[in-house]
Amino acid sequence: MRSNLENRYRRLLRVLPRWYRDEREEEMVGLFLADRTDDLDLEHGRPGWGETGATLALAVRTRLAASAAPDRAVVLGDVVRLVAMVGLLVQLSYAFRWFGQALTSTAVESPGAPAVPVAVNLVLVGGPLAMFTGHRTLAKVLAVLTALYGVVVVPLTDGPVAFLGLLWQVPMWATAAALLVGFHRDAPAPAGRPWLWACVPAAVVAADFGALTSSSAVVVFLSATAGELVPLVVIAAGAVRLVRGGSVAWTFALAVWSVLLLPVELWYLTLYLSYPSGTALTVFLAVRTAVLVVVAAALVVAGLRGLRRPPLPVTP
Amino acid sequence: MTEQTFLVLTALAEEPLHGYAIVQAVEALSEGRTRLRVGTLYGVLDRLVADGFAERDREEVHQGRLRRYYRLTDAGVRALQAEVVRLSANVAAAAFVLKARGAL
Repeated sequence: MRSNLENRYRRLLRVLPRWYRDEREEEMVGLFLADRTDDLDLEHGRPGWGETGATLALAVRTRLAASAAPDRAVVLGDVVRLVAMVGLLVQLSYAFRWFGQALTSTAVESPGAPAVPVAVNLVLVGGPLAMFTGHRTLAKVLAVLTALYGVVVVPLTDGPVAFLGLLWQVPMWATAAALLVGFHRDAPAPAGRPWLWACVPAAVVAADFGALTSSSAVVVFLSATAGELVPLVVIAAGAVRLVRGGSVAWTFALAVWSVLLLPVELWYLTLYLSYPSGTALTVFLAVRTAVLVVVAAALVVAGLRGLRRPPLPVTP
Repeated sequence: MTEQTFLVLTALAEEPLHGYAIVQAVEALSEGRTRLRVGTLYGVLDRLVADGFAERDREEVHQGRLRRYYRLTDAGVRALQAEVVRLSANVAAAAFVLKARGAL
């Protein structure tokens, strides 16, 4: 008959994927209980915090596997790692733009991007560059700082900008979480060079195109759209992926990013729906949001179909 | 190579061991400094097996519990040798500097 302690350990092991438990559960339970032979302990004892933490870490490494695991676990791991890398690129693009605005004091609190202090922008830029140059631990630390800024500081902002500021943080939080869990100890180092090259278009996307014109109507239009070329880039990348095919992991990663961009997208759409004179802009935003949703759905369908085929190798 | 991996490889270098014996051997080798958690041990073993440095040996049932033994492969022996050479070179360099200062 199993003791209460053994049952508790077996419950803890449920955090591990089934394929791993099938292989290891009996062996691990034996090891857990090897030193715990006291009757009182077997009745009332519980797994320690250290064992629980180590088992949770093992669960992350096996569920988001890098190798030596079933294809689906490796694909899921690749998706999370790609979500993190794409997120860092998106973060870099926004940070470039906010950085420029902070330095030139052109930050507008509506309808453009919320004002972000220069120091925060340095962290936002530093995280991606650290990751792309192989400094994984530093990148994780900066990602945590970025997430903390969104959790602690942004909610203290007054007015409607606080809510918009929080919406902007959703992709940052997702990026930080994906970076922390996806790039675990067993995960391979990403190939830095392609991601460093991708910083160039990220900077171009961030450019303030409104400065190129003196037309106030165009400036207003661009402040709400050019600053958010990122959704258009994600839509374009998703469309290319749908047409040309490719790895399942990339397909799902782009689907995730299409969804992550939706909250801010919907906020702007709602905002401009209340402006009776902004018809063209409203139509543009409505179409862009709709296309983002369609592309996300199509990518998910394509990804699920792709899962039925043997996955292509991916190096984030 | 992490210290945990190094210690597990060293523990397995002597003879094939099961999980509990590896934990005990690592604790003894490190003079109590390193106590492997179960989740950590299997993370290390998974990596060693994936890298071809260790492989499964045999299974036994002890007091109704499964014990799976692991042994070092030839590649694992070479990896351990290389790490020993690297660490020895570091120790020699540090000892030389400390001797020059009269601190050793």
